[in-house]
Amino acid sequence: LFKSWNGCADVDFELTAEESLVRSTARDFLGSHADLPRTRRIMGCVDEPEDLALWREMASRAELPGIAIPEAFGGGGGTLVHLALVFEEMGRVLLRSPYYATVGLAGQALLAAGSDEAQVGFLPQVARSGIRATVAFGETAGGFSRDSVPVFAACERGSWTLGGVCGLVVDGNRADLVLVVARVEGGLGLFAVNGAMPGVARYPLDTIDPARQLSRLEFDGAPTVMVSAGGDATARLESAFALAQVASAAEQLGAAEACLGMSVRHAKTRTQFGRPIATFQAVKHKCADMLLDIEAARMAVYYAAWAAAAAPGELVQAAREARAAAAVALSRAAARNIQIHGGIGYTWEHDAHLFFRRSKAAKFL
Amino acid sequence: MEFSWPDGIDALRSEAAEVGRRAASEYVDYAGVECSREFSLELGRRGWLGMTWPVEAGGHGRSPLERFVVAEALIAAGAPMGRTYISDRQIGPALLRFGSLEQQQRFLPPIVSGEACWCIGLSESEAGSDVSSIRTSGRLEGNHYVVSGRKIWTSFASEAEYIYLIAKTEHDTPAHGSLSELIVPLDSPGVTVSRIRDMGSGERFCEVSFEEVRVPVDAIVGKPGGAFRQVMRQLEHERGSIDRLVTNRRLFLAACDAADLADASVRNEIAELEAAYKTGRLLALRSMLENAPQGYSAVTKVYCSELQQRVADFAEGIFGVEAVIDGPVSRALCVAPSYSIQGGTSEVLRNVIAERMLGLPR
Repeated sequence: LFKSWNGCADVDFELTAEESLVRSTARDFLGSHADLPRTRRIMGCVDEPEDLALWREMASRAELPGIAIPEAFGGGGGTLVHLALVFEEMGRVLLRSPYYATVGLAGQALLAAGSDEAQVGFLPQVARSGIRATVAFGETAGGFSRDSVPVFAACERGSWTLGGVCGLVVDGNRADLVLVVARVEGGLGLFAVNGAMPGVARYPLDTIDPARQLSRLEFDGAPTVMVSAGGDATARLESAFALAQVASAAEQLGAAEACLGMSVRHAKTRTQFGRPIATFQAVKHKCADMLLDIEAARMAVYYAAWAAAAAPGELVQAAREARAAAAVALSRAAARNIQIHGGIGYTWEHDAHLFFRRSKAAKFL
Repeated sequence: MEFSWPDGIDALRSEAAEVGRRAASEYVDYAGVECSREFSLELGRRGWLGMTWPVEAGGHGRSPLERFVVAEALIAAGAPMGRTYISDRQIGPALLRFGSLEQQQRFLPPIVSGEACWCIGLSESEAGSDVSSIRTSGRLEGNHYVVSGRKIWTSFASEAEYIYLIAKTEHDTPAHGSLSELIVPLDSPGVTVSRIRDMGSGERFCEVSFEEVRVPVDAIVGKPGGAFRQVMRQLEHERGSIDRLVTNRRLFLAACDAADLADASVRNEIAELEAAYKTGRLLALRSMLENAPQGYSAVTKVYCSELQQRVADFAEGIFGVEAVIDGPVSRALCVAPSYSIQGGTSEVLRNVIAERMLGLPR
């Protein structure tokens, strides 16, 4: 019907050919290199050499790390929509990899708030998996405000040092480069710390989510350099945090989709009272509810990812909405998935609890 | 993926909001149930009916996005849209898709001008969610169908000139293949319309009975026996429409004005509802553009209508005692239960989602 209208459609919910390609590239790569059983196998390990090997392979085989990094810095020049599609796929398998912190947190933070020099220095390394990086946004990265930042930067005779504690830093124990949001006189700045330097104490944490490595980082006179551009970087760091929220939201969206997929497969094959449990409306409606949450979250996540480049004024608000919607979708999908599976869903052996655990931890990341 | 709106859309949105505000200035309607013939004609004069239909068919050939913002702004402002909304939303599109050229030439122009009012005869007392149980029948006699039966929950039948009737005409064909769509003038001999008072105190809800009503065979829309497929198509338009999201928008805004914003839990609730509104808007937009998987309008309908019910609950809490004194708030609260029933119950739509979108067995 609307084809009769002669004009180009402005709003379009279909993925472009390029976006579809990005999605299938990520899906194929993960399918052959990093599926959910792999996540299971290596989860809980503090440092897994396999992670590093996979991280290198992502660049050499699929060019995934540089996907949303401008071509000038050796990346593929894609958009945050591309990156969100990749994170959605990674969320489906709860991928354990330096990818999330390096690309989703550090790469995006450098793009949003980094000085020219820092971008030239670090982004090409991110794009070719040459470095493992992360961002310490604050006590928890779950919220971000100027007044809640717990790290202070001090400058003496032209040299900066950091002091303070960050409670939850993704991959904080093994990142070569830790970007730290810290208070400076008159606002906030972004600082780069070599994770192995003295003055940085890193404590890997056992958390509710074994599929993601989290650490507590303590800075006590850690030597550092400022990598944010200009003076007060608060506004740019808010954008950086928004980009991290989109990454987290996209990952949670994918994880929720995986829960729904597991539920549907189980409901179709599990037989009770002589018929598949999928024929019971109580089960059907649970699955339908999962889909409702997921489709709502998908809209919010894609919109925020689109806004990053196309409507930057809306990014901060859209990112919050996206993360809130994705958190609802995942936490409800993960719980419903366990319920639909019954007893087997409550076992350690089954994957359902991994998503439930992620849904809890993801609220702070 | 692209979310940008065409140039000039903001001006159109403001214009529609202003027109809506002016039209709604005479009354306070928090539930979007008012209607007015005069306003329908104004919509026609402004070119806001049949906006997206082809110019050759009497429409205005404009972008679906333009129609979307006009409808959203008008309904959100509380403009009295009821009289024309059904024909603009689904009768016109159904005629464009399935109707004959003659039907299009005869029936579309009065819809576009705002003169015509249509209703849809679908539900019966024994055929609510289960369309295949429809008993109203059209018996072929020469070049006429003779229609007998009874339709219920037919909104606007007391105002409408025509009913878009779903009736059984193919008596030898089982269930789904037996239904056809007929256009029946409501002033035909044998048609009786009686109003049913609804719990929101409205009186647009009707029962329509047909006793040996004769309509010519060319009153059939599309193929004899083709109604099931055609109706499903129409329901997609009905379910996925923006009105599912915005009919009590004024109630929400009024509640926000009255809310104690110093209370963090109130602020949280407002933030959740507003974020959900923005999401619902994208779902409705996606449904309208038919830029979505099959069955998607069920997602839009359930999400939006249940959100409107959350809005009503929120408003009830905010207005407190004021909500129990007869007035626009109490009325809006009493309209809210209809959202998850009309146009497909939330339960049936969840079955649609599970079966058609997720492939779960019946």
